[in-house]
Amino acid sequence: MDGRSTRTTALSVQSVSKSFGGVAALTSVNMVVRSGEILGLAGANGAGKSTLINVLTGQFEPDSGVVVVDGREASLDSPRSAQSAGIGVVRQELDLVPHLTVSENLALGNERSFQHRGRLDRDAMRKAARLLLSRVGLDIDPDEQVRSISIGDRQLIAAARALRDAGSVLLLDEPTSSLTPFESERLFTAMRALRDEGVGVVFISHRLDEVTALCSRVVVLRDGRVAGEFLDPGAQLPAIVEAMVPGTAELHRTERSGSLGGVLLELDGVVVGRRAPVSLSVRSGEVVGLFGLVGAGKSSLGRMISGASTPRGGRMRMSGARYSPRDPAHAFRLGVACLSEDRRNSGILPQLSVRNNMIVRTPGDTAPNGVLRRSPIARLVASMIERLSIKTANDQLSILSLSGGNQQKVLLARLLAEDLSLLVLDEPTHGIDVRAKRDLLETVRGLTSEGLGILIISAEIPELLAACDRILVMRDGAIVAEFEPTTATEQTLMSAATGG
Amino acid sequence: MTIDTSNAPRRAGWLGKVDPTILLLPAALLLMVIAFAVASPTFFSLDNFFVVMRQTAVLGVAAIGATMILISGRLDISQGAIIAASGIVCISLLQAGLPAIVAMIAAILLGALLGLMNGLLTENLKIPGFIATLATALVIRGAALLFTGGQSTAAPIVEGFDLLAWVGIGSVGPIPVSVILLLTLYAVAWFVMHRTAWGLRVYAIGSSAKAARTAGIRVRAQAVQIFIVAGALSALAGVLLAGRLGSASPSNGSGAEFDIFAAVVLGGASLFGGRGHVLRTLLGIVFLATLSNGLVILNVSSYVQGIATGAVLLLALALDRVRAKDDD
Repeated sequence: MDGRSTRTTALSVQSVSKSFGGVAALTSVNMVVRSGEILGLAGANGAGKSTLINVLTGQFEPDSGVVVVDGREASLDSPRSAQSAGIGVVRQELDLVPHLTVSENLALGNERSFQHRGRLDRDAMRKAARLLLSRVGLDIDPDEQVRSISIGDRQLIAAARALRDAGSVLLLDEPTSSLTPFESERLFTAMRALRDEGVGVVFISHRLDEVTALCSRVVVLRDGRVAGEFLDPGAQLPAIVEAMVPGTAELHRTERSGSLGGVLLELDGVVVGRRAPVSLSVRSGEVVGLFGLVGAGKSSLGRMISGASTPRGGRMRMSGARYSPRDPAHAFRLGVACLSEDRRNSGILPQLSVRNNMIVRTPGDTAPNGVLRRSPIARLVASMIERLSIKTANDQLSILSLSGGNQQKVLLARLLAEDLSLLVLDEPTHGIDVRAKRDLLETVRGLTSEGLGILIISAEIPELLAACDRILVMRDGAIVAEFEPTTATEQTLMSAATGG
Repeated sequence: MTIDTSNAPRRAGWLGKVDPTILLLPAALLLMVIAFAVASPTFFSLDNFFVVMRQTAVLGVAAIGATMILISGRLDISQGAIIAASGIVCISLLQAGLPAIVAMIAAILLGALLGLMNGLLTENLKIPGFIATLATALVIRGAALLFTGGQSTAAPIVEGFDLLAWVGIGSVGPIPVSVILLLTLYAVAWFVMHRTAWGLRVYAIGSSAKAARTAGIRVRAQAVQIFIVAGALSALAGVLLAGRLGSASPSNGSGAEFDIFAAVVLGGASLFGGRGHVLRTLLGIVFLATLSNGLVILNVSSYVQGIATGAVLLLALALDRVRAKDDD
């Protein structure tokens, strides 16, 4: 299209826009994928990568714009139409059926073509499966059940199935997030082989080291727009990072109001899953940031601290005493609570009112002998609404009637109503707008004057720089670096997190 | 008088918004009462009203527990079996010469114990409630058959005041004791569900078990407690039935779980947890009892009654689906 290459265009996205409820997720995005190349698609959380993939796979219909596949305009109004247009996709969450065999999984969605007088032709299925598996370099028994196969090989099987549908384009959305380096390497080998066969491959990853190693070209999305295109990714790494997270922070740093107290939380050689041991500490009145990409293990660490899961090894201490919470309820009693990253599924209680979401644990004097006391509850809820400036017409409304930012504040109020000493805030500003973000971060910093210790887990650098006293960087389950927010930059943090 | 209760759930409970479909059930009940009253002169009388209410007492008491179970997002279909077992235990202990109050309390404790078993199976072993309580129901009813040899056992004739008979068929003035008990229990249940921390937690774990756990609620312990309460209430229903019949049979309460389930769902409890209201369950129980009473008075075949109950239940479930979609 732009004459830089003589190779044919496999996929062309032409001024595609998509918005949800007035919020633009994609704004006239243009992107070209050529046959026989691996194109990297990079961007921070919420940059629009997933929306673009969902448009290309027929999950979302774009508001405007055109998608051209193999020179023909494709109408991608359903996953099936994307399949028949020749676009295959490998997603982060695998959609294989664990209790079916490899060949059955590879035939699924296409099983009619193996039907012979009402019966499945198993031999033909096996043969087709072997052919697809050989294209991704996988040598396994097609009769094996998928559940007994390693995650890495499953990812390759998913790729093989995507190939079945992919005439000319294969999209891979964060395919390596749960793979070991060895498994990733096998996937890359398969991807390179496909490229050499002339398939146009689009690779989406948070891990810039992988992107630069694999891709001959990188397109960066930011806030739903194309923020840049880079031809020699290896040499252009700093520029790519700059395009993903530009240096101008929209959040201003608020200075701390109190002084640091003694050590509150101490982790000593704690093991998250099968990863490296982690040691860290949080002092009273301190805000510690934990930065890392998706899959770095920071949320697992947060869940462990708040009692939602049990560490494999190592020791945790709170104010010097051994700390091993059995469950979140126990952690609450020991003075630790977590604001979950998944507000929708493990945060709000969707059928309950704003008020009841806030007082569900009946803190303080709201139900001293089990019977709810109206006026203490009303007082508490009113003071929280005022303190966190929660926008709600009245506290009896359903929590679902509130905006994401206000829901988050209600959940924060739930924690503030308790007598806690340590808060773990996992992606506290996820999915809320800039203003609400600033409010929330200012509130969080204000809490330190009461001696609370706070651990903010986030993949968003500007908010960590604005809110934290110290920032730890996590990669592959281990803490790999520590920064002072005054001297750290987004670039240094990002390269520590990506290993780039 | 049946219509009075329709005013009670005007406040949408823990729900933030008032559901316009909330008036459907009271309106349907009112229409049905008018229709039956026009069709039959004997229907609309105080006597018949107490007949209906007495019929509702047994299922109504068990339905309180079933409502709590459903609101908490769980499922329990062992009510019928517990009704049978508790009645037999109560009557057998009376025959063994124990005082009625002891026999009744023992039967209720048995129900609590069976509820604990249900709770441990579903919460600790993570067996789905439907399967776990289906299995326990089979075991319980089987044990009841084995213990009695399949025969029904009659309560011994007692000289003077008979507490069990008084609860089952006695009355204070014109009002049956079982009806007073029923209404008192519903008042208590309403208080527990809407004025205590325990009730709030029932709604919370049903709304989202994951979010409730994150919020620092001991979801498993709460759910086990709900199963215990539900078991005890089913057992109390069994005692009421034994008192009314003056005997207990291992086949008592068979299929009761389905009538109870129908009433609870008719009362607007969600199959997916988080929503429901005990007073509306009472309305659902009264609705079904009125329906079958009216059809009996009009001499309609009992086969048709089954069809009518099933149709009403399907309608209620369809409504529940529509409401569940609105929640998304």
